[in-house]
Amino acid sequence: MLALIALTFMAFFYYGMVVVEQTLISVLACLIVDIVAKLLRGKKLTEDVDLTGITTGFVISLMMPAGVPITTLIITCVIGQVIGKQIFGGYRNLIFAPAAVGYTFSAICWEHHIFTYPKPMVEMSINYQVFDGYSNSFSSMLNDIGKSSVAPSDILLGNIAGPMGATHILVLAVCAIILLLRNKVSVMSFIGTIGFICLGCFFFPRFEVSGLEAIFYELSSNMLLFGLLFIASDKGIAPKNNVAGLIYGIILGIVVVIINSYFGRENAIIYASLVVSPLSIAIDKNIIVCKVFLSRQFEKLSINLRKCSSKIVTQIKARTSQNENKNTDIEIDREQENGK
Amino acid sequence: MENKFDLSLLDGLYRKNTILISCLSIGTAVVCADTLKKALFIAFAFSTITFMSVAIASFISRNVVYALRIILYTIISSVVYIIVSLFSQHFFAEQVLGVGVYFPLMISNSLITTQTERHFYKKTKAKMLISLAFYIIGYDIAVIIFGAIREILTYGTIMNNVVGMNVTFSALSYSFGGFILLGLLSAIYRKIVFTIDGFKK
Repeated sequence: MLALIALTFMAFFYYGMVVVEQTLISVLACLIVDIVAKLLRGKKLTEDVDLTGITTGFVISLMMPAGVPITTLIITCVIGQVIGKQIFGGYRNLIFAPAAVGYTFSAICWEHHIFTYPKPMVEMSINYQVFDGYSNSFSSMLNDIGKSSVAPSDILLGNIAGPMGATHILVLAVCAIILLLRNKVSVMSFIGTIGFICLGCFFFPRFEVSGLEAIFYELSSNMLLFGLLFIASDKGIAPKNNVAGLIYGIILGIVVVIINSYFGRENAIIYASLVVSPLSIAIDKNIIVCKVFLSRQFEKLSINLRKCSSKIVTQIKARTSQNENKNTDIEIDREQENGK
Repeated sequence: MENKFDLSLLDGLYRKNTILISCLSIGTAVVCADTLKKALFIAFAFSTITFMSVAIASFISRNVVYALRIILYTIISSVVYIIVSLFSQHFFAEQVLGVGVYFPLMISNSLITTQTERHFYKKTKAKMLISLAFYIIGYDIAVIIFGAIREILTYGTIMNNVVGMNVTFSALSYSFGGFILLGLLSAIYRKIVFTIDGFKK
């Protein structure tokens, strides 16, 4: 939550009061949907309080361009909360990230609203209708042309056109470190995805730059860090088991690379998370089954080894005792011969 | 002499609606019925193919083995399809193209292949035909309403006339959007049916 507030503050610095208005509307819409869903289920409001709507509201708001129309924002929140969360039974039974569901729906319906962004440091009001100041995002340019003329410092500070909360790479990196150290996100999923994408970029760079530069551009574009931190590696979505988390992360990385390379679609991490997140439950279950199976096999193996080793020990003991007996017999014979 | 109408014959129209309650034969509706015109054509094609096929197939003897009977039902509906297809290409040429492969697939819809054995042929011929007619009418009403709502929400039009919607949802024209909308409509319909049934009890 603090990380999201920090990102909102950064967005406020670049785009002004519109960010606060947008965030408030988004959070309120998500909370209202949750309350209505609870009432429809016949539950009391005080029973099993669910505040994940606030996080979803923040995430949806930060994924949007500053000055997105209110209707688009509200419908994104409603679709995300209803189809991504409530129809599966609420926040305890998440299959998809609600924010990803809402965003994808809106990206298909209102592409011109979602994928055109205002330039930073331009004052605007909500429902800003003048599109002269709007342009495609830095990610879109990078996907299309394959190279960038933007200074790395601007990319790090988020001084580029893009989703209002997902371009501040430096703040996102700090948030990532804090969240990972405090274990607030699935660490292994994060490492798996980032690791796979970085290796892929280094050896097969998508852009016309060196391996390390390609990694930098890949991590700072297409909402990768933001999507990974607040959507794909969310503990409600990612597998609980560490090994399962790593496998999930690698699969997510593969899907991101495929979407980026073959479809050139902006913000691939969001779509990839929708594809992979239903697998996380299966991966988690299968890993547990595998663990149980392997532990049983290991137990059987250890029992067999013990039996074998005990047999060998008894055989060795028997042989040594036989040898000792033989030796004593020989000694007795010798003594008898000496006595004679 | 009391001659009461058997209300269970109306089940297909209301309590066991083919699309909204039983969720049968929804593929065509979900994929193709994105406008009212297409929905009307689907309703026409489904009604004629299903009614004629089931009515003709009801003359097949019960003594024929089940596996063979099903094959015969499908052959009959294929023959009916040829007639309906020739007719449709004259009057609904545009819609036939729009519905595509889902039009011939109607010959194997579940009302013909499974409901006949499970439900219709257990009744007398007259009752069977009435029940079948209500099942088909239930399907038609549901698919037409679904098509109309989907066209309004997707394109902001009804029969190509602009209705003045401020916000349209182009995602609903895709199959996944159709599933979402049908799911929501089905949930609302079920809620209404169960509430009415609850009041009656």
